[in-house]
Amino acid sequence: MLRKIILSLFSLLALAVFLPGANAVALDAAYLTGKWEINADGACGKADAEKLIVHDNATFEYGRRGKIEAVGFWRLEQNVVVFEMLTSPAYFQDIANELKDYTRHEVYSMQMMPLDMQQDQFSAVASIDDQMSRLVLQRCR
Amino acid sequence: MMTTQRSVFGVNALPAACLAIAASMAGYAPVVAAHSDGAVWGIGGLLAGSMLTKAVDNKHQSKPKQTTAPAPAPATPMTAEQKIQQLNTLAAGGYITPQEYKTEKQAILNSIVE
Repeated sequence: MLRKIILSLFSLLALAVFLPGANAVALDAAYLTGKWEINADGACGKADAEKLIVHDNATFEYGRRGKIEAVGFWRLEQNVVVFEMLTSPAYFQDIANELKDYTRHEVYSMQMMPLDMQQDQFSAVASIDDQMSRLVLQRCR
Repeated sequence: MMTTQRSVFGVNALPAACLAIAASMAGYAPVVAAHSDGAVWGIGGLLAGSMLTKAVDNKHQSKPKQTTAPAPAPATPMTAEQKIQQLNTLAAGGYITPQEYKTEKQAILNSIVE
């Protein structure tokens, strides 16, 4: 009798593991924590990559080309991840030359809505003020 | 004094039209947020775009603008209707594909049933 119960329990466990959707990921702190590369096109570790490092203590770092360009705190609000950040000064002139004299720390709030979440990758719509962009984030070890 | 409005994500943001007008008045070219190899910067592009807008804004104001982080939104759960409206806005703006819209909407509807 006991053997039958144990076998039944194992069968249920195996069924749960192999059921479609059993490996579906949830948007939570455990999922978000880690090193992500943005628009990496499937290749982790490029020297000029754009990186988002999400820590489990609700802080994060953002950087490009090996330089940290923003640090801050993140939180989950429903299906949106909010990143409150302080940028480092004078690091964005390579994107827009008008910013070459813009040497101040600035505070920004970015909202990111993850879509199509997979174990190690998701796409997202992100916005800062009136700017909005599509991103693909890939988990990199 | 420029007013603020709710963005599609429910957080205060400056009206896009006002910022676009301010940028065009100041003669700024659109931000080209790209790597040397042509790939587009994601968050970096967003930050640079916002900085450019802020630079234009500061240029047109006599006194320096104090930058503060927005206060965290109250933690009131969104209703399924609000979430679908949010999706509708994103779909109408072309920020999500019809397939993503369908998948996300189905997930919201499923959460009602659960």
